[in-house]
Amino acid sequence: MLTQESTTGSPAEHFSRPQNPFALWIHDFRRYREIIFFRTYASLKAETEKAYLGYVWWFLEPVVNTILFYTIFAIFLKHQSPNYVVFLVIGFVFWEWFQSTVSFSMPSIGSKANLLQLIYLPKFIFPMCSILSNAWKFVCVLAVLLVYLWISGFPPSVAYLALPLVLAIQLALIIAVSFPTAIIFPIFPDSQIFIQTLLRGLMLVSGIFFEGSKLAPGPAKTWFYVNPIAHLIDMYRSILIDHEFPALWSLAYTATFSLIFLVFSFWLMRKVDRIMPKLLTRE
Amino acid sequence: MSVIEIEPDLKTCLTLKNVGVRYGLQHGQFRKKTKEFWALKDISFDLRHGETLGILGSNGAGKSTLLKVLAGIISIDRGSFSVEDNMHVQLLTLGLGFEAPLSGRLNAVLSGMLLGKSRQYMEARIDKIIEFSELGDFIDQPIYTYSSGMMTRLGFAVALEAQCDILLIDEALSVGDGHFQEKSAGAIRQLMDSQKTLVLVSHNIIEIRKFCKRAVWIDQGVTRAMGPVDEVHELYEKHVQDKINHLVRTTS
Repeated sequence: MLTQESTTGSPAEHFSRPQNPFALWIHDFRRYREIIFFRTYASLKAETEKAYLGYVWWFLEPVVNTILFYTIFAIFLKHQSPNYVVFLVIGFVFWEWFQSTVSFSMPSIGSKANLLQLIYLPKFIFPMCSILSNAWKFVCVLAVLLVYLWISGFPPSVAYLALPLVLAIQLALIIAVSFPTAIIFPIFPDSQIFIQTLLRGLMLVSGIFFEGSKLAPGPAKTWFYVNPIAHLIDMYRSILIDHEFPALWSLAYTATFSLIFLVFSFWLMRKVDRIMPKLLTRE
Repeated sequence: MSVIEIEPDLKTCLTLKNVGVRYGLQHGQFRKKTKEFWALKDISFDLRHGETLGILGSNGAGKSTLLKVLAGIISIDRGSFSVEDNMHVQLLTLGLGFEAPLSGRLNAVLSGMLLGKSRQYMEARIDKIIEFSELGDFIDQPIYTYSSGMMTRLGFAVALEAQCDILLIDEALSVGDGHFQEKSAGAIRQLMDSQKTLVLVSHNIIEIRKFCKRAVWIDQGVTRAMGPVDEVHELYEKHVQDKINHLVRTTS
């Protein structure tokens, strides 16, 4: 028999689940992975069926955006640096992956408030579906980006071996940020404005439009490099433009930052799991 | 609380002891938590394998909170609640997890998966679902194109196929129009007559008497009685009569 004893309101387990938090996460991922993948697949399928061009848009949209960037920055504005468009597009593509996933995941739990009054589901499922479907679309964008780079005179190199690692670190960071925002949003809807503003601000200071290493040494530069996204964009540019392996310091910093943040967000997600339906009742 | 034991040798699969559930009330411009509210104060009963247990309670008695506790949706704040290992408790819901842009087919599979069945299990039963819901080719259309009747039929067909170990039924489910209503009522009756473990929650004692041998009466978050349905009915009727008499006395 499984007993839920309440002491200070801490939720105990209902079904036959392990008690150790790490084992519990493994258990949940295993048990619910079919739902997560199926739901992601179903929503992507529905999206493609809705639009006339279907999945072609996943490739067409980044192509159109790249042409737009090139037209504005290389033709109209004629930026002094010849590779500015490539420089900009790289910063933009990887930033967009982060920004669009966080924004898309924000309402993922809140929008399921009604469903969550009817059945127990671990809340992480919903932001996870958003993260996965955005990741899939990002893969299409990345494919277009790489083709564009190769055409522009930046072919693949040995440094590409580091790319999966940097992508994995960014994915960890995306999950780490998406989980808490998906939790906070339905409880404090005002947080949406705060988070959107924060994202906009981050975009301006993450070195998408300028090169962080060229900043004059001082407090601004120090603060610039506290931001893990600034490091990530630097690393992507090292790999894709300079054909160099990313700086070890950047790798270590972003990996540690993402890991710690990830552990915190998993802990938070577990903590609020059976409390959220009570809080969502008032919506 | 009055407890009258019957069939004590039937194996118990679910037990509640002195369970309480608290909500924090929010009001005001800044939504500060100023008051606590105990939706359930002291609930105790048990559920046995293969029985249809009736839970009788008027609106505001705490029925929907109790259902959420049983289904594992919310945690309890006091007392203890145990369920037999690997028994899945679920409220019989129509269209659980239905998403408008997805087709009827995808929704049926997804809904079944949310209820704990595997994708293969649901895909193997999709033909039965199409047949019971009488949707035909519409099954592959997005459900935002469905009428409410079609949605209900699909929801019911899926709920029947994706049943869980312990099923909670909130009020008598009479769904759909005319002929489908008969079909669905028949299906529910079949469930009740079977060896399935069911909990029927209703404010209507007649419904409970129709389907249950044992009942629990809940009033204002507290268990008042548990036992054979006749005895619980008697106690409940007495309580109602007392209330009426009291009303008559205070208003005359």
